[in-house]
Amino acid sequence: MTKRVLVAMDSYRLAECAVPLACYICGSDNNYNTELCRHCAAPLALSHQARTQGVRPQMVAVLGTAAAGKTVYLGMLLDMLTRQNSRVQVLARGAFSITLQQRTMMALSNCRFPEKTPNEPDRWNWVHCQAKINSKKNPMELIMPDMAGEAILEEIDHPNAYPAIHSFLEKCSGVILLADTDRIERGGAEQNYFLMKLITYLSEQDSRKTRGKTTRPVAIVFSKADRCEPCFDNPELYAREKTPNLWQQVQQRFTNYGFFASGVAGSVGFREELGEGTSAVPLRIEPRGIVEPFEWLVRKV
Amino acid sequence: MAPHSSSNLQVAPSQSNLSGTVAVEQAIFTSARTSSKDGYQLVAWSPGISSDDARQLAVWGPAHDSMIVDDPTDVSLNFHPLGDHKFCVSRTVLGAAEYSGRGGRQVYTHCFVLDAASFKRFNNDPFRVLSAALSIHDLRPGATLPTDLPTMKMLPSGGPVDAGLIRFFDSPVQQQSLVAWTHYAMTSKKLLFTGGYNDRFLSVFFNLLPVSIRPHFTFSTRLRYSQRRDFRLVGLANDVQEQKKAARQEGFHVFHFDSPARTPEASRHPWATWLQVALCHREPDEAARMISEVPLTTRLEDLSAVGNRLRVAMSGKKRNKEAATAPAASTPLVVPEENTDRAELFELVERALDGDVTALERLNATWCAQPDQQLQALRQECARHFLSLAKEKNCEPGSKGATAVEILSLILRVSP
Repeated sequence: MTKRVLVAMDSYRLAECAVPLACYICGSDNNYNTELCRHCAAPLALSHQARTQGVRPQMVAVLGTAAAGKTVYLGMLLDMLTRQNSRVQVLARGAFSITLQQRTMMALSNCRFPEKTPNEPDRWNWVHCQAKINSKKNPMELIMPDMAGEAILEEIDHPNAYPAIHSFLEKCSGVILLADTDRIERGGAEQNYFLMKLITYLSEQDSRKTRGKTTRPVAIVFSKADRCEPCFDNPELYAREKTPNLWQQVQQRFTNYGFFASGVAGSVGFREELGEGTSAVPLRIEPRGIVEPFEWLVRKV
Repeated sequence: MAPHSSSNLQVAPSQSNLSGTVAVEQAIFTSARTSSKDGYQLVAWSPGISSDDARQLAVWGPAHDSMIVDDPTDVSLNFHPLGDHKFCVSRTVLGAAEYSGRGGRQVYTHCFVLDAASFKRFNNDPFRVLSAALSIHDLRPGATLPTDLPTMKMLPSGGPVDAGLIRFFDSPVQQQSLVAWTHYAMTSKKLLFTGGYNDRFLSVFFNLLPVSIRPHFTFSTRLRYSQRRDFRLVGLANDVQEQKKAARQEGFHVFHFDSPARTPEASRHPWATWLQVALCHREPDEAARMISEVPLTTRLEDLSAVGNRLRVAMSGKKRNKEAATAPAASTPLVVPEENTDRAELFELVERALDGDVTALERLNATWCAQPDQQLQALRQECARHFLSLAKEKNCEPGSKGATAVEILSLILRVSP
């Protein structure tokens, strides 16, 4: 005896997977269910989220040399903005967006700075969030990655070495540029040169120009400014006196710029461990000037 | 095949000097604060490293938290192409504390860069480059980082296949693992390997590959998986998170050394089956000789056919062992006598170059005989004669003449 059975044709479900998914950062086609872009290693979750929302997310780059404080700044910024804030409020999109904030705050609460960001793009933390400013009617969708300083410098020296950085900087709407005040105070010219390179790179890459100057907003933030109190009083004067080349370049190449000072660790000590060398220890967490640059930038974007 | 000394037998190819050494460039990639940059960078390199090489090494280099095991005694070995015509063999260890005071140790990578011709002098075997480097230098990071490095002079030695390494794999379990591993390595686009493996296993695998195939098998061991570093063989120790992360990428097969998957003979890659036969027959010298004689034009896609041929040949030899020794006596060796045999040998070389198989066989039988002082001296003369003839003939690649040149190169141990 033969039993008749009705079998549902489920093959139509595969049709969605057959359509390639374009990476939101570099635009390369990928398999629908792949985790990271095969070209630039950006998470494809960004593309999935962008597809499901009506608004296209804007990109904000946080740039600086290795150990300039990018991870601490971004992690602290997100932690402050995701709490109740009267001026700007941020809502994380996607569970992966909380990892950076979690990693930073866990490290700081254990009296240490977060570990160095790896150079490999597939191990960077990306933040996708919704930012709401009181004065603006509609919230903004923002994407901000925490990239390694060495990778940024490598990309500037050799364009296309890191496709993720190249595409991101090409498309980003605003830039937060971190200058390590501690190293500037110690007399090193390296910060100055790096920032000048970056300013040149950004201005040459940007096609949106009026009268030869780029309109992309740039916030220059003197990080670790708690180690130099006068920097907080007047960051622009500080820039003019301590980093005159940078100040000059910014004047000549950008129309929308602002100088800021920020600090997370109110006081830093140093611990010597056998075989581990000297490590910096944040003695108390005293965030200052964290939200201001971001708020300024979001208003300008 | 008779062992030989490279200094005696290497008839000066164009890129080596009289002593037979090969120029190997080196570079160090690690975290440091230098006058040009802070963080991970190429801190020192030898003069032959071009700016393009330096850029690629800087992008490839394993940086902070790249080692799977946080142990200063752990070593990662890596092999990958650098551009179109160069290869990089590198060794990564954990060094001193990270300079910036953010915790963790610096990841210290010493790279050795060779062009294709120099790498061929090492029989395309990355482990020979590493062992030569280790015999010259202590590759651990010192108290201070060097600012520049000299070009190293390394002396390649040994034949294409080392029979001693095959003897090391004596136990049936090891042999079975090697056969299964070879099957997966041959049939996978990318292969992850996990569990309790050691680097000796990889070195035996390379040793048992034909020389022309070895550069295809780029590998990394004990580094965290990154899609930025594109290797064919990826060793991930026992880190489950890294295994899961890598396995989520496309096109990976996973090989667990602790419980190697069985490979049924019917579906097994023929080269793996040949290795099984070679290992089971316990005649490492014979197996080494047969692999050594695989022509240098062999491509990866030819390996199935070559494996089948070698397996049949070895099985046949086993069956007719007694009979096989008798015909050897019937093959007349060219017995060297005082200044009388040179002309005959030169004639054999010429005939072999013209495609005379019997002449090739006679030459091969001569050099495969027990080493003899007089033969060793004659080999150099013959090799020089062969080189001058080969240059004159300038055979088309893939032609019968080109094949004869390659076979003669193997017999006489020279590079045309």
